[in-house]
Amino acid sequence: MASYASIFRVKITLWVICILLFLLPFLWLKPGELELGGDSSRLYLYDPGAFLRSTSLYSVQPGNNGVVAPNQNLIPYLFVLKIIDSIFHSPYLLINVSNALKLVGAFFFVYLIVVEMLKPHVDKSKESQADLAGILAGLFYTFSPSVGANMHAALLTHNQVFLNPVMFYLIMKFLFTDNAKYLWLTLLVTFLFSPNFTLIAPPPLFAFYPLALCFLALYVKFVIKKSLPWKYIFIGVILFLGIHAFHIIPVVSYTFDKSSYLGQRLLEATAAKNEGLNYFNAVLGLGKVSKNIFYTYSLPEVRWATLAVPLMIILGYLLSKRIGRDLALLTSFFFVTLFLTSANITQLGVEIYRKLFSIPGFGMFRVFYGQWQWVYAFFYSVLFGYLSFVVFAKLRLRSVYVLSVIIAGFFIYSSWTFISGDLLKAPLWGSNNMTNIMKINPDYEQSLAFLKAIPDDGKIINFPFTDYAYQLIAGTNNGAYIGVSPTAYLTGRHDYSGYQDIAPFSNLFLQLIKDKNYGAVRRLLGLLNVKYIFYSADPKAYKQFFPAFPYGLFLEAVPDDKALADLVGSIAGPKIFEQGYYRVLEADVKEYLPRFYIPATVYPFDTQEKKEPDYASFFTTPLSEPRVAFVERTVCDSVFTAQTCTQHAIETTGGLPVVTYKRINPTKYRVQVSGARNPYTLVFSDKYHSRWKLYISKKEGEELQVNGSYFDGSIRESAHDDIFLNAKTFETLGMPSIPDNQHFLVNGYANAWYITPEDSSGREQYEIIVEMVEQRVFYYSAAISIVAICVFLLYGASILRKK
Amino acid sequence: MRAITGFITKSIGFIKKNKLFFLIPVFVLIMGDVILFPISSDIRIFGILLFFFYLIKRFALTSTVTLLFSLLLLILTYVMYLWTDPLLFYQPLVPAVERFAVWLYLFLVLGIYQKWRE
Repeated sequence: MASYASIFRVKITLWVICILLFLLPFLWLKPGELELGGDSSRLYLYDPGAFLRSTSLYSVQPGNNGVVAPNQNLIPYLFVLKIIDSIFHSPYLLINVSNALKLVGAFFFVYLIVVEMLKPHVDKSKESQADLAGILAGLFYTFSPSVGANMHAALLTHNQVFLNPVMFYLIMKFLFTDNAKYLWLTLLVTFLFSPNFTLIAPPPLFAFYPLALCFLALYVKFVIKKSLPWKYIFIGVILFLGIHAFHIIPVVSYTFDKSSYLGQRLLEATAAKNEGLNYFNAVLGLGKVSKNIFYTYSLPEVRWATLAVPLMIILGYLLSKRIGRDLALLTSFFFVTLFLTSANITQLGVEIYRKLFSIPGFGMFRVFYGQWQWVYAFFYSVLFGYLSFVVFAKLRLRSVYVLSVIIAGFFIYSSWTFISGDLLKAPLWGSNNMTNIMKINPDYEQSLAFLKAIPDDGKIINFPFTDYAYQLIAGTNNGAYIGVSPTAYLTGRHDYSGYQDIAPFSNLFLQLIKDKNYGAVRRLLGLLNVKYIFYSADPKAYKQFFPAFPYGLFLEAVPDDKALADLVGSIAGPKIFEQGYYRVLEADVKEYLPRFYIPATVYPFDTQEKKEPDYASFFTTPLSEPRVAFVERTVCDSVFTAQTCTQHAIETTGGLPVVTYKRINPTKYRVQVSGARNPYTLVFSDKYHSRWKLYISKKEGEELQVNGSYFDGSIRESAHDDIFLNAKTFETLGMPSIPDNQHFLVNGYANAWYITPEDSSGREQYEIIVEMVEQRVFYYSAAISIVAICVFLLYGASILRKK
Repeated sequence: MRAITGFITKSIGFIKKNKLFFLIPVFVLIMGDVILFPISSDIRIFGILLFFFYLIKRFALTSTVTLLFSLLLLILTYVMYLWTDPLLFYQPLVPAVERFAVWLYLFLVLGIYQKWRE
C-alpha cells in the first residue's frame, strides 16, 4: 500500500513539474512583450502567415537581390503556427507556447526514456526510485545550457532540444515493441517539424540522429536480443522520403548546382580542408573537457553546484554489481559524445578528430563544442538518470526523496539565470542596456503595413544600415529586435539592410557616404533597383543605444543620429509616409532603374584577378541616360563579339523597345515587349542565377494593366500578383529558353539576356516569361509529398482499425 | 572514540583488501605530469596508463580500485575547476583542471571497461 502511495506521490510530482515548466516562459515575458531576434530570427512567431508566404512557398528568398534558396521545409511547421495564430492572434502567446513546448517536451521525454531503459531492472518496490531518477534526468537536461543557453536567439532548429528526446523515445518504443503506431507517430512528428529534418540545417540533424539510431539499433540487437523490424523500417524510410520529398528534392537539386553556396560548401574537395579543418584548428582550444563534465551555465558563482551529476555517475558505477550490456552501451555513447564535444582528449584524440574532417560534409562540425552539445547533453542526462537509479536502489525511499530534492535544488540554483529569465533579459551585446525583449511600436506595425501595400516592386533600403544582413527595430521599452529584416520577411519585398546585403558594392557604398558623394550614392541605389527608403529616426535604434553593434562600419561613415538624418535627407526624394519615428521616402526617381529595363548603353569594364573591380567608375560620373548596364569584358566577349567589346560603350541601336512587366510571383515574371526591331539587352535586377530562364512565348500575350511608367512610358509596370499555382504555372514546359550563352551577369549582381530578332522569329511585339526553374522542382516534389501524405494517412487509419 | 577507531580499522582493511596503496605511485606520477609539465604529452599519458595496466595485471587490481581512483580524480578536478579563473575556459590555454579532466576521462573509461569485463 505504501508503495502505491509513494508511486502516486512521484507521479503527482511529475505532473506538477510539467505544469510549472509550461508556465515558466509566461513569467519571462510580460503580456505584449516579444522576443524575436537572432540569426534566423523568430519573426515566424510574430506573423507566421507572412513569413510562410515570403520564405517558404518560393525558391527565391526575400531580402537583398533575391537569393535562390530552398526553404520549403518550413511549410508544415509555419502552417500549424498560422492555424494557432488565426485562433489566438497573439505573437506573445505563440512565443510562450513554443518555449513551453520545448521545456515540457524536453523534460517529459527524457523522463520517459530513462524509465523505459530502467524497466528491465525495476520491480514494483523500486518504481518510485526509477521515477525519481527519470525526473532528475529530465530536470538536468531541461535546465542544461544545451536547452537554455540559446533560447534567447533560438534558431529554427532549436526545437531539437525537445525533438531529440521525443524522436528517440518514439523510435525506441517502435523498435522495442514493433508497434507500427509509434512508427506512424514518429513520421508525423518529422513532418510537423520538417525544419529539423531538412538537409539545409545539417549539423543538428547529423549530430543527433546517426548516433541515436546507432545506439537504438545496437540496443535492440545486443540488449533486447531481437531482430530489427526491417519490414516496418523499410516502410518508414519510404514514407519518410515521400512525405519529406517537398523539401528534400529541392535541396538535393540546389546542392548539385555548383553555383549554389551549399553546393560549394559540400561538394568542393577543398571545402572540408579549408573551411572545416582550418576553423577546427583555430577554435580547438575552446573545447574543454572539464566544462562539459561540470556542465552548467558560464557563471562563476554557480560552479560549486555542478558536482552532483558526475559524482552520482561514478557512485553509480561503483555501486552497480556489474555493468550490463545496456549500461555499457550507454556509457560508450556518453564517452564518444563527450569526446566529440570536447576534442582535446590527448594528442592522439585530436589527430583522430582531425582525420574526421576528411569525411565529406564533416566540416559542418567545425564548431564542435556547439554542434555536439545537444547529443552530448542528451546521453549525459540519460546516463545520469540510469546511474542515479543504481544509487537510489541502495537507499531507503525517504533518503532518496531527500537526495532528489537536494540534487534538484542544485540544478535549479545552477540554472537560475535561465529559470528566472535573466538570460533572456540580458543586455544585447554592444548595446547600452537594451534587451532582446521588446514591446513592438504600433507605429512600426503601421509602417510595415504601408510597405506591404505599396503596389510596385521597387526595392527598399533600410536606415540605420547595419554591418550584417540584420535590421534593428527598437521597441517602446528598452528592448530591440536584431535579426533578419522584417521589411523583407514580413512584407515579402526585396530590401537592403546591411553591409552584407549590398554586395558587391558594400565597401563602395560606405566609402561614397564617407566622401559625401550623394549623387553617386543615388546612382548606386538606382542601379540596385531601390525605389524606397525606410528610415527609423528612433534614437533607441542607433548610436546612443547601440554604440558598438551592429553598426561598427556604418558608424564610421555616419557617426550619429544627425549625420544619419542628413544622409537620408541628401539621398531621398519626397516623403510618402510618416508615423512616429518611422518614415518611408522615395529614392531619386530620376536614377531609378526598374526591375526590368533595356539599357541604352552597355559599358564593358575590366577586372584583375584577386582584385575587386572598380565599381566606383559606375557611379562617379553622372550620365545623361541612366539606363545603362555594366558588363565584365570577358563576359562581354562571350555574349557579344570581341570586336564590339573593345569599345568603351556598346549602344543599343534603332531605338529602345517598350517593355511592360508584371510579377506573377517571386519566381516568375511576364514581360511584354514591343518595337523590338534590333538586338537588345534585357536586364532583370534580381541576383544573377543560371536557373533564371527566359522564354519567348509564341502565343499572343495577355493585355497588362499599366500601374506605373518610367522613362516617358518606355518601361511600364503592371499590377503585380502573387499566384502560387494556376493553370498557367507550367506554361513554359516544353518551351525553348534563350540559350545560356545569351544569359549573363551585369551590374555586378543582376541577370541580363541578349535578345536578337532571330530569337523572336522576327516578331517585333511578343511576350517574354522570365522564370526561376528551380521552383518547378518544388512543384514536382510537392506532388510526390501530397501522394505520400495520403498514403501516410491511410496507413494511420489502417493502424487504428487494426487496434 | 571506539566508533572512530572502528572506522579507521575498517578503512585500513578496505585499503589493504583492495590494494589501494598501489594507487600512490600512479597518483604521484599524475600530479607530476600536471604540475611539472606545462604541456600535456601523449608519451607521458600512455606511459602512466601502461604502468597502471601493469599494476592491474601484476597485482590483480579490481575495477573498484580504478573507479575509486576516478572518484579521487573527480574531486581533484572539481577543486581545480572552482579555483580556475573562468576566463581561462575561453582561451586556447590548457589550465591544470583540463589536464585532470582528461585523466578522469581516461581512468573512467578504463574502470568501466574493467568492470564490464569482470
